[in-house]
Amino acid sequence: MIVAALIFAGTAGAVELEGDGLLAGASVQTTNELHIRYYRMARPEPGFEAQFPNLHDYVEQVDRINLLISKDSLTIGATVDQVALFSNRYILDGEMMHSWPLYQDDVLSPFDDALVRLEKLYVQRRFSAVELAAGDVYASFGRGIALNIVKNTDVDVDTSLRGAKAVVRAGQSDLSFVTGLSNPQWISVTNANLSINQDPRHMVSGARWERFGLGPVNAGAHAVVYRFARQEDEGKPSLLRYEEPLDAQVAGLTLEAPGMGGLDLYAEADYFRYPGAELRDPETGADDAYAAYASVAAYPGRLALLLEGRASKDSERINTFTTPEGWEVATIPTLEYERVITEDGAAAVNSNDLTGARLRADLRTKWEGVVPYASVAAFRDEDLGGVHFNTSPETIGHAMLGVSRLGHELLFRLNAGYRQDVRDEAAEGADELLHFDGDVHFPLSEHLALELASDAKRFSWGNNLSQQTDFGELSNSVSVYYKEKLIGILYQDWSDNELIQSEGNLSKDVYGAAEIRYKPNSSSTLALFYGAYKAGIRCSGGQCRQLPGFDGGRLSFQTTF
Amino acid sequence: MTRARSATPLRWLRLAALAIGLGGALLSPPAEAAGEVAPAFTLRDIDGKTVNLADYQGKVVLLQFWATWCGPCQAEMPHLQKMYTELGPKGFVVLSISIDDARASSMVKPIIKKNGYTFPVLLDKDTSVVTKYNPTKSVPYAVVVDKAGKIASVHLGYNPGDEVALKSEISALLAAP
Repeated sequence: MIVAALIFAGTAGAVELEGDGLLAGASVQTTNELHIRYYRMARPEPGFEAQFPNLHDYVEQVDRINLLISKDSLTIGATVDQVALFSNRYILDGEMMHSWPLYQDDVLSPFDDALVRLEKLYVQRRFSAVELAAGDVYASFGRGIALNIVKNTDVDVDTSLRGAKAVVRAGQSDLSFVTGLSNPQWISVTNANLSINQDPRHMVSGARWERFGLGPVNAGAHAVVYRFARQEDEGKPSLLRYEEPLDAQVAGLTLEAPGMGGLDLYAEADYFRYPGAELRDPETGADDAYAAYASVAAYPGRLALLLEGRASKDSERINTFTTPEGWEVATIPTLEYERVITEDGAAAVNSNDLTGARLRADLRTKWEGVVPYASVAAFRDEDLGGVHFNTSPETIGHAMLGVSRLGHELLFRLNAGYRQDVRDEAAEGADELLHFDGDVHFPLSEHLALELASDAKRFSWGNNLSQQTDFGELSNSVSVYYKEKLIGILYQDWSDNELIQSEGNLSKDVYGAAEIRYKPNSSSTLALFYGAYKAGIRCSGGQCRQLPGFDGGRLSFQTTF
Repeated sequence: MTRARSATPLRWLRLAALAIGLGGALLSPPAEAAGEVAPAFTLRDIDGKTVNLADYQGKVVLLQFWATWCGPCQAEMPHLQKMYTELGPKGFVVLSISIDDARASSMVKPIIKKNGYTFPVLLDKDTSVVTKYNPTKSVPYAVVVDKAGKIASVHLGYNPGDEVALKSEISALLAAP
């Protein structure tokens, strides 16, 4: 925080390191995010409801500094996070009490209500054909089925591997090696930080070979091994993971043929083996799994066609240890329209026995910038475990239509669809989802523009033991743009979903908020928000998280210099 | 029961730092990230060809970070295509970098094809390049690199109309010696 203050207070612009050491002449780039959030908490203290109705409201301040030092072929990067809670204490019968714990006992900090952590640190050196990195690295092989440890800030996930990575580029071949212990971010920039705890360190090691230009084909092969930490490993050195028996081994092959015969082809197959007992099928004890994915894209005339298919059995079990921690090490492409995933749809995303395909056709019309599309997906989900509400397998169909217009003053993107999950057991009925989302942006005058956005869905459950209530959800916003510098936004959410983990500020089901965003220059944004929005499940890149709602105010500032 | 306002010295120190940080943030001169060396990188494009940033030394390069799910990114791309067509012969290059997850890689090329974009499109599937240039991973995010390989400016987000100032800036960089 203090560091952030000093940096902010200093002169912005290029910074070049002086002296005659290794980094002399290196340039330094800093990105900073500052967030101050006031949380209005619906938690009255029993006996003091009238006297102190807002006793447990509190303020959170979060700062993230990303530092990048570059010189020739050397790059050094670091991310430092800091969080502090204010108005988080009160006195009850003469005793100092905390409303909310910032962190748990296993986290050390000299401050009761504040924490500073070096989240990421890496050094990368490039040679003519070799790239070496040590520290926090990311890795993804193929379509991410065997290994996909990357930043996913869309759902507030940033887990790296703290270890080493090497990429060797020899002619038409690329060879990659990666090994390390998982290092999830502790401090969240976009969501509330409460009860932060140490995450167990899982070991991941892998290698991938890719050969490009085999005629029209690129071929690849990879292997990844995992050793996951257990509760009983708490307190043991994390490096012991390298000595312990492996929990999972994955091997995969990929083939890609871009532009072959006017088609873009991709195919991948991965085989999983689970020596670790916790990953096996709890009913059959099966210790192996597979996942396969293929896609074909074609471009006849003004059409762009994309056909994708997938089949997987038990490959999702590889995330058994990390899903409860809020992240995943690998997942097959979902083929879902992830924006409309519900509690029910999440079951298919995380299914251990799913086969399906999706076909999408986009048409470039003679009206420049206008592109309508149609998409249809079908899945067969045989898995009944995990978060499935059904007791018999189901067949899922999802059709969508949409249109977009880009590159003009009047912009719009519209999507609508219908999804049905039909259970084999007729008495279980079917889940149904009807959804629409869209936004329209148009100028009002030379300096003013208006944007209207809406997202609506109506979901009906089939018959099941839980007998959840059918529900609807609606999110609307109206934005007014003044030049390119200033935006004023009004938000309104509504939901009568009984499973939702938040309550509206205007009424039980209705949420309202206002925001002003200001861009003082091209690389900075200042935002002021007041109001509430609803909680909800959010999926991105195959990872779904239940993100909390918000009620209060917040000030955010992001800049690069 | 009384409400405590814990005024320990440490807390006041944090509050003071907060005030200085916020004040400094708001009062600091316009930040344009100018002058830093653009970190080197190598990526594969959507056809599997190797692309090095260093290959474009001497040209003005716009690195555009985008994603298939990002609406403002796709609103910006037609304007980048126009700039690329118009200013390309003068030494301007757009390197469009998809930060989509590996699982969405098959969707990238159809988006490019259906809109008729001709600039190079690179895949940063393991987020190794975006981590250097744009660690918050916010999109769209554009970095203008001058002929000397130094960062001329950074553009966070896209609002319709932003392309006018961007084009002026690129034209000026192209005209510079």
